[in-house]
Amino acid sequence: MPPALPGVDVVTMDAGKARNRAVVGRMTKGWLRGLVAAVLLAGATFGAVASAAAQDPEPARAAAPVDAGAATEATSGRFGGGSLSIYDEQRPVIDEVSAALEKLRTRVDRYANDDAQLVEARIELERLARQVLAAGVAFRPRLQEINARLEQIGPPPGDGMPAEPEITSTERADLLRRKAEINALIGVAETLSVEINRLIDRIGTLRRDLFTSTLSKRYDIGNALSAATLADLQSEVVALRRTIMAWVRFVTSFKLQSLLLATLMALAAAAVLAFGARRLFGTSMEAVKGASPSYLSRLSVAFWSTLMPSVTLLVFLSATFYLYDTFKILRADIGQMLSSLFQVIAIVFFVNRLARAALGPDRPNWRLVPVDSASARKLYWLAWLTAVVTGADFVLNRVNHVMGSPLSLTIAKSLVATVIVGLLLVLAGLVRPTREDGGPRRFLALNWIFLGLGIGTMTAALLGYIGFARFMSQQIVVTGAIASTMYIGFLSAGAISAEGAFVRTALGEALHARFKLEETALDQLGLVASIATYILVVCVGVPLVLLQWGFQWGDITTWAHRLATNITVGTVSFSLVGIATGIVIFFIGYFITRGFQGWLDGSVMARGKVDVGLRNSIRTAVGYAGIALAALVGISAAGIDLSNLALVAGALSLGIGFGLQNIVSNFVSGLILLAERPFKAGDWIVAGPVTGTVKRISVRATEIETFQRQTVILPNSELINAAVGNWTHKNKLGRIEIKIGIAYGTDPRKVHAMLLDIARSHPMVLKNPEPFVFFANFGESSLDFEIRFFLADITGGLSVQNDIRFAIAEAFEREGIEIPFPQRDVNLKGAHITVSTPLADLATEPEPEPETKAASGVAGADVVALPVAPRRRRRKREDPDDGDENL
Amino acid sequence: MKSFLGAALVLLAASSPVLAASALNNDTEVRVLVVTEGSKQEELVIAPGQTVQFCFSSCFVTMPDGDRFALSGNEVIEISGGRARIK
Repeated sequence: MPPALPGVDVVTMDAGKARNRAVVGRMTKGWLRGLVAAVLLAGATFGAVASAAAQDPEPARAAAPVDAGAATEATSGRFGGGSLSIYDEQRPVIDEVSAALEKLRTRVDRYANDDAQLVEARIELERLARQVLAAGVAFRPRLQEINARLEQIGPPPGDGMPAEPEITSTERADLLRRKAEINALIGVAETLSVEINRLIDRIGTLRRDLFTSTLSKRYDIGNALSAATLADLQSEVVALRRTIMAWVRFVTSFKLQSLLLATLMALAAAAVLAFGARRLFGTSMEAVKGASPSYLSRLSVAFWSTLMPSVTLLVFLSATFYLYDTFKILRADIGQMLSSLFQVIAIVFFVNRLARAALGPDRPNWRLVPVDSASARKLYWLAWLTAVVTGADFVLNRVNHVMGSPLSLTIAKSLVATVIVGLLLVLAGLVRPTREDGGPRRFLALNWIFLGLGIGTMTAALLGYIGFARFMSQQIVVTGAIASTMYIGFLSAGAISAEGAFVRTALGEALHARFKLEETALDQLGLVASIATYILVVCVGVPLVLLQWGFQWGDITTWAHRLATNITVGTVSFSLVGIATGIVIFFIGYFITRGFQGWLDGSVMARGKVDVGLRNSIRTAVGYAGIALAALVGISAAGIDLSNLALVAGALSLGIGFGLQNIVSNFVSGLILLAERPFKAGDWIVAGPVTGTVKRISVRATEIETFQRQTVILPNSELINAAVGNWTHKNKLGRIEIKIGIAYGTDPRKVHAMLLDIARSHPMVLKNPEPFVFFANFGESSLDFEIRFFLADITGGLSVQNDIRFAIAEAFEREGIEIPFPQRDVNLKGAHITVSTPLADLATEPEPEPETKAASGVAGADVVALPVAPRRRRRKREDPDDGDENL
Repeated sequence: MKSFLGAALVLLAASSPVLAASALNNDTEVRVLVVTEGSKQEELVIAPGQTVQFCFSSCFVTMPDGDRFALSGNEVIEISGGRARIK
């Protein structure tokens, strides 16, 4: 629907003295409704959507019970006079709608230039459309019934088939006739609906044309600025004073009590709100002088100190006006003027507080924008004065309209007002805040914008385009105020998401105390809060701006609804709400799964004394099943059609199958491991070359920690397809063998007894099965024995082995039993061997002189005596040529 | 805490219902519905086995066998044997 102006006084300057008193109440109530709805926007958005949904089925539901009466009668098989009731009921409704449509059509034609009338007509038409639809919906159950009955009776017999009883054919004819009637009536309703909607479209076009013509209409300034205008002004002031005095007299004589009561009630409502706000938000509204607050505190104080007083004042003014109206204190013309005055007061007050909070002219520590104090003060006054002037223009125009003043006066007033506003904007554009680094003051983009707007407004006004100039100045004030508030909202959202900022706020601390949340959790909550704030700001600000620019509330909700539920890109359509629902459902499923897992593990299995490995398996399996289920439900809730995915998956399945072979094999192996449990977490297993403790069994792989504390991640398929040794499968019992060899010549029986004694005497060695000493072999170098004993806990085997080996070493040392090195017997054939002196004697002999050695001839067999341990006996080697020296 | 958040989100999501009528064609041939929405009348062609969403606010629908219905969104229409039934 095309936009048009609601509250802006589209000056019906042609209409002159035309007044419509009946319109006043509805217009001002419309303003009331609009403002209150704007303040309660967030809830109203949902409410509007929900009510739009609820409104349509309601009339149908109201009509349905009536039809149910006819239905019960009809289903008994006899269609008597009662079945016509729904038809007879709805026919007059549709005729009524048709008549109302004609009336509205003439009204639209008559008031084609009155925007307010057009808006009214449109609201009426929308109501009619709903009525017509409800009438159509009311027929639905009846039609379903008739169809069901026709199906029951069956089709008429074909040629050559036996004829059916007359009752059946009469009934069929009757039913068909009724169906045709109903269809015809619904057809009429359909046509009506189309007509109604066409008229609504036409209203939209008319309003748009009206808007364009207002903006582009040019007035003759010269005519306005003549001496006659001053005289008109005087007479208007006199007339206004008279009207007001008359009203005051009327009130004081007849309505004084009601006036006081109404004012008191309104004050009470506002006071309650103010006190409540102070109690809840007291500290966040105060800007303490001299404090140096963080940006977030500044923002929050700015926000609350703008919002709460404005809302309080708004409530007071709305309540006052509403109560005055209810108690009939107001007259039509006074009511109009008062309503416009209240509107202006509310907006000007809001702008004042906003400027005060943001610019902080006397509180440099609390300032939100980085400007110096002088510029802040200038900007504050300029902003506020702009709002005052524009508001005054609005009020005065309404007064003119009500008093029926001549056109020239209205134009003159608007001209003066818009020129002043233009001047103020230009002055605002000339304000160049000093930079912090003391550099030369520059013109920012914002300056140019303001200059442009100001010059534009002045030019438009001076050229005679008064409508356009007024529109611009009003929009600058109101849209500017809303945009500034939204900007502050965005800034605060950004500040909340800063690291650690949420934690330090009052809300963050309360959460920390109440729910015992940690820093990181609070930080993430801060991120969530900032996103929520962004969304809230957009949802509140954008509709407000759109309402300002003339869009209707119904349009806005329709768009928002369409945006949320159906976005179509080409042939793909998805719904934001659906996706959000899917995500929410998935998270709910996820948390339920986790909770169920925890409960199952903690309460059921722990108390049932189920062992740890089994608990782990069940817990993991439940977790995976739960998440898969949640994902499926979430995807179907999101409205995503999985059948397309199935086609694609089928096509790719071959390639994917080959590629994912191993992964799927691992996955299935993981499931088998979980079910069969050849080992559990904590077991000591040997899988091929890897030996260690099982830490975690996942779906794809198992983590094993070796004794060097290295984590080896083994794919599950290896554990399933190959042999895995588990030392601690059933219990920790294990056998240890210690091999020992003793020298030939030792008494084996003695050694056997010693070894058995050593084994039995160790405290960790089990008595049952008994330790056993095994005389294994007559080895190459030694007599081989093997001690075999069982331990209760095989994982502690190393220390037991140490102990036993130490004990053996000490015992052999005591008894003098020898543990031999590898032994070899060497046989020398055909050599003359003599035994030489041992090394100790050789050392005392003097070294013979080389020449004397040669001269002395054979001194004897010089045998190379190698240093040997005295215990070890060696056959000595001799040089076979020793006897032949004299060659 | 998490459950509180989850509950809040659920309420939020649940308060905005999805309003759109949908039609499912169970026949083996193409069916045509005439949909009047607002001030426009258009033909909606549904292939066999296809489900189509239409009518986001309110509309009048004329079925292939001449039956007329007024829809207010949310209804599911099943077409079989040329006849339409509303769930």
